Amino acid sequence: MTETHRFHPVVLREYDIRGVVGRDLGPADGYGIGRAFGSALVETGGRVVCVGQDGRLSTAALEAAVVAGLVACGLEVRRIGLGPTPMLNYAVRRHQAAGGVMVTGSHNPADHNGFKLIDGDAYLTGDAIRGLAARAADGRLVRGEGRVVLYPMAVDYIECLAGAWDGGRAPSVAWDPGNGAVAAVLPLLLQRLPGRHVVINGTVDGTFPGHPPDPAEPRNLRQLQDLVLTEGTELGVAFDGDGDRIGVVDDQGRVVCADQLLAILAESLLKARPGAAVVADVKASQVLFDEVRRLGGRAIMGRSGRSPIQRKMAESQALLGGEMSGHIFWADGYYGFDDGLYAALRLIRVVSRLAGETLAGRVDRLPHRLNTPEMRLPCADERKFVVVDEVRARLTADGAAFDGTDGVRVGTPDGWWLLRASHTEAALSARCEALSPDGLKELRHQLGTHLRLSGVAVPWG
Amino acid sequence: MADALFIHPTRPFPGQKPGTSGLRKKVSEFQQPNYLENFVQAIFDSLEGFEGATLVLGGDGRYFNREAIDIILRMAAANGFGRVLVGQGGILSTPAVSCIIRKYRAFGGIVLSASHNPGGPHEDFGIKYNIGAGGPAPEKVTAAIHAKTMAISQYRILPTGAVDIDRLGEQRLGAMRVEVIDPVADYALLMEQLFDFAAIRRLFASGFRVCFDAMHAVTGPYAHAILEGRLGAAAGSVINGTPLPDFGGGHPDPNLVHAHALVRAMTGPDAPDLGAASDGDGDRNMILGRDFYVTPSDSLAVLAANAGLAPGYARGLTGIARSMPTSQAADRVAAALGIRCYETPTGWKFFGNLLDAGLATICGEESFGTGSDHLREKDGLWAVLMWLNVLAERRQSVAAVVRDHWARYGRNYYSRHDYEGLDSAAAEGLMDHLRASLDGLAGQSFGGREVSLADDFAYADPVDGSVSRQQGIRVIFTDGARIVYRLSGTGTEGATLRVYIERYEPDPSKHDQETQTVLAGLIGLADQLAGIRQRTGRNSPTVIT
Repeated sequence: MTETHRFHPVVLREYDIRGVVGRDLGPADGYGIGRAFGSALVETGGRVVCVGQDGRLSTAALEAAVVAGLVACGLEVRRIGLGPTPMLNYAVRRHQAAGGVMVTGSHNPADHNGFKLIDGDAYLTGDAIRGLAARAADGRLVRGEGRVVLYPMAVDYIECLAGAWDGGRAPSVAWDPGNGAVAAVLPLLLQRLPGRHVVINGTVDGTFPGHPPDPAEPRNLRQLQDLVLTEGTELGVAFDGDGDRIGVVDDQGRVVCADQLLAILAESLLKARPGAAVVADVKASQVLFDEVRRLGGRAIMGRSGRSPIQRKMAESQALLGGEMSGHIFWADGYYGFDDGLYAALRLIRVVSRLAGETLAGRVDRLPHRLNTPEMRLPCADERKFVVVDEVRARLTADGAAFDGTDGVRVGTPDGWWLLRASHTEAALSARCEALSPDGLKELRHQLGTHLRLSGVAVPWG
Repeated sequence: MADALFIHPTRPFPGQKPGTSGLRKKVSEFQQPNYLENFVQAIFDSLEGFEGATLVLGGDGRYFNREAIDIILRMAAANGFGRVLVGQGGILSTPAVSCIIRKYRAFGGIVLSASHNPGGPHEDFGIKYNIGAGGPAPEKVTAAIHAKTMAISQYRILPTGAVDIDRLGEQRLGAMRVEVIDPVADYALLMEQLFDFAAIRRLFASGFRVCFDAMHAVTGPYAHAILEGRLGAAAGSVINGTPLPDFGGGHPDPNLVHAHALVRAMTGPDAPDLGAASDGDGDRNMILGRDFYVTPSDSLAVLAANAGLAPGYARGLTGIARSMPTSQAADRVAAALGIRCYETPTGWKFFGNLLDAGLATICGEESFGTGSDHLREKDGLWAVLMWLNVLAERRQSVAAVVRDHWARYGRNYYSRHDYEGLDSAAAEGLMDHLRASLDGLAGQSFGGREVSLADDFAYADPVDGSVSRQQGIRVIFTDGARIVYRLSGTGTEGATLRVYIERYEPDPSKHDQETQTVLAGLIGLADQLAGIRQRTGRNSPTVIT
C-alpha cells in the first residue's frame, strides 16, 4: 500500500510549515509531516523523536496527527507536553533524540498554526522542507511499529533554566508571556527565582486576548511598558507565542531593541569569556558590532533569520548570537539554541549586577545612533532577489563600499543602509542608521533612489 | 521563593452588589471563572493602607468554601497583605471572625457564608467584608466595593503556592505569612472572660442537660469544644455537630420549622433543660426550654434583665438596642434599669456605632439575632452561654425564668406574619397606600384601641447623625399594642411583606394564652389598615413566626 500526501504550496515556508487552519492546513498535513519526516529520521538510523505543542486551540488535533504519522514510521514518540519551542529543543538534546516536531503557530494570529521541525540540533529550512513535501507526495515512506510515550519536560526544563540564576540580588521583573506557550511554564520558573515578579497575560489562551503574540511589533509591548511603570519594576520581558523570541522594556518603560539588548548581554559575556565571538544579523546597529570589538570580542555579521544565525554561530564557535526580531542564542552555559526565557534570565542577571545603574541607564550609555526600524516594502517573490541584484550591480559599478552577507549593507561616512530580500515574505527589507538627522535623511534618500531605479514604490519622500 | 503575582484581565459581572450581609449568589455563579476573583479584588481596591497588614479569613464550611479560601489567600498575597489569619480547615464562624479581627487588631476580615441559606453545589454561597472594628462593612464601604465591581479590568493573584489550611501554624505564600489558627481558641477565651464557666460547669455537674443543634454548620466545633469540652456538658449534647458542605441537606436556619430535630428533642417530660440552635455561620440563635419556645424578642429582654449575673456584664448595661420591628419587651427592661433603649432600623450594622460609642451594651433583633459589645456581630453561641450563665445562677427552668420575667415586666405577645413571593408592584402599592394614610391615623380608634402614633420609621444615628428613612411603617396604640409593616426583597423572585403584631399584657393571670388568639383582633386590624387580602389576593400569610 502506498500513502501519499500533497501539501498546499503556501504552507511550505522557509523556516517552518505554516498556514491558516481549516483553509490550507489541517490534521491530514500533520499526519503527512509525521510520515515524511519520520521516514527521513528512520532512514538515517533515528529511533526516538520528541513532539512539543503550544497552547493554540487547533494544536491538540495537529499534534495527535503528527504523533500518529511518526509512530507509523516505527519511531518512539516522546510527547513532552505544552510548553515553548525551546523546551522541545531542550528535550531533543536531553533525550538525544533523532529529531523533534513542534506544533506551533509561533507569533502568528490565533487561526494560524504550523510545525517546526528539528533534525539533530538544527531546524529544517526551505529546501529540506520542500524535500519532505516531495517525499510525502511520492509516497517514499517507511512503515514500522512505533510507540508513544508521555514524557512531560516542563519541570526538567525549568530546572535547567533556573540553573542560570546564580543567586545575585533579588530582582523585580514584569513578565508578559502574551498568553502563549511560555505561560505554561512561567509559574514553575518564578517559583524558583527570588525577587518580585508581576505577570500579565499569564494564562495559556489560544485566542490571545491580551494582544497578538509578537513582541517585535512595538504596539504589542504597550501593556508591558505600562506595567513596568505602574509596578516600578527594574525591567519587563515579553515573549512570542512559542517563546523562542524575547522583547524587553527598560525601567523607564522604553523598548530595548534586540541589538541594544545583545550589546548589553555581550558586555557581561566578554567579561567572563574574553575574546569570544558574537554573531548578529545584517539588520543590527553598527553600535553592536563596534561595542563587541571595543570590549575585545569578535563581532561577526551574519545573514538574517534564525537558521543562518545559528549556522554562523556554529561555524565561528560563537558563544552569543542574536537576530533583530528577538531571537537570542546562548552557547555559553547553554545549548546554543534561541530561547526567550533563557535570554530573559541572563538579562535579569546582568541587571541585578548593575552597580548604581538601572537598565535604562545602561541603555543610555550605549553610543547613540539614529535609525529606522526594519522597513518591509512589498515586492513580488520573483522580483525581490532581482531588485537586490540590480542594486548590487549599480553599487559595484559605482565602486561603493558594501557588505554582501545578506543583500547589501552599504557603509557611508554618515552611517549605513541595508537592502535585502525577505526570506519569509514577498517583501524587501530595509533599514538605515546614521549619526545625525541629516545623515539619516541622506541615507534614506540614497536607498530611495536605488529602489526607484528598480521600480519599487517608496513610501517616503 | 519569588513573590510572583499574576495580573489577570477581567470584565465586570453585573449584579455584584453586596447587601447588608455581603454578596450572596448560587454556587454555580461563584464558580464562573473570575467571578469570585472580581469581587475580592473589588474589596481590596476599595480599601486603602493595608500593605503589610493582617486579614482574617474563614467561612462556615459550606460547599466552595475551600476553593474560595485558596483563591482569596493567593489574592491577598498578590495585593500586599502581610499576614492572613485563617481558621483551620477554612472554618471560622462570623462571631469568631469579629472576635479575631478585634483581638489581633487586624485590618479587616472576609467571611465566607450565606448565613442560613442552604449549601451545596446547587445552593448558595456568600462573601462579606468586615472592617477593623470587627463588624460588617458599613454602607459607604459596600457601595465603594460595588462601584469597583462595575469598573474592574484586572485582578492580582499568585499562580501557585497553595497553603495547607488543615495544618496549624505559620506558612508562607510569596512574601505573605499565613497563620492557620484554631478556629475556636480565641473565641472560647473571650467567652470564658464574659461568663462564669465554673458556675456553668457546676450546673452541668448537677445533671442539667442541654441540646445544641449545630445544624451541620459552623457552630459545631465551637459548641463541641465549649459546651462539651470546657463546660462539661454530656457527650452528645451537641447534635449535628460536624460542619458539612451541604449542611446534611438541611436548611441551617434556627427556627421552629428548620430546627425540627431540636424541637422534637425538646418536647416531652424527658426533654433536656435547655435547647438551642445556631445558623450556618453561627451568628443567630434560637432558645427553647422544655416544651417552651422563647421568642427572640423575649430572649433579648430576659438576657438584658439578667445580664448582671454574668461576670462580663456585672458592671451593668449602658443601654439596650433593638431593631424597630423587635418587640418592645426590652424597652420595659431598659426603663426599669433606668437606661436607654435604642430603636434602630433592621440590620446589625446599625448597632455598630452605638456599641463603639458605649451607648449600648446588649442588642438584638426579632430575626434570631442577639449580641453585645464583646464583638461587632450577632453571636449565636454567646446567647446560649448567657442563658446558661443565667440558669446556673437562678437554678430555675427556662420557662420559669421567662414567666417570672413576664410577671415582673408584663408580657409582649408578639408574632410576625410573612407574605412571601408577592407581586412587587402590588406590594409597593400597598406600602404607598399605607404611607399616604398615616397622617390621619393618630387619634383614631379601632375596636376600642386608639392610635397614638403612625409613621414611617426614620432613624437618626445618635453617633454620626446620619439619617435612614422609610425603614418600616409603625402604627402604635395607646395601650402599647403595635403593628409594623416592612417590605423586603423587591427582587426577581417577588417581594416579601412582613407584618409584626404585638400586644402588651401586664396582667400575669393572662400570660398563658395562645399568641395568635390573643393577637386575633390586631391581626384583623392589620389587614383592615393595609388592605392586605384585597391588594395581594392572599387570604393568609406564608409563614407565621
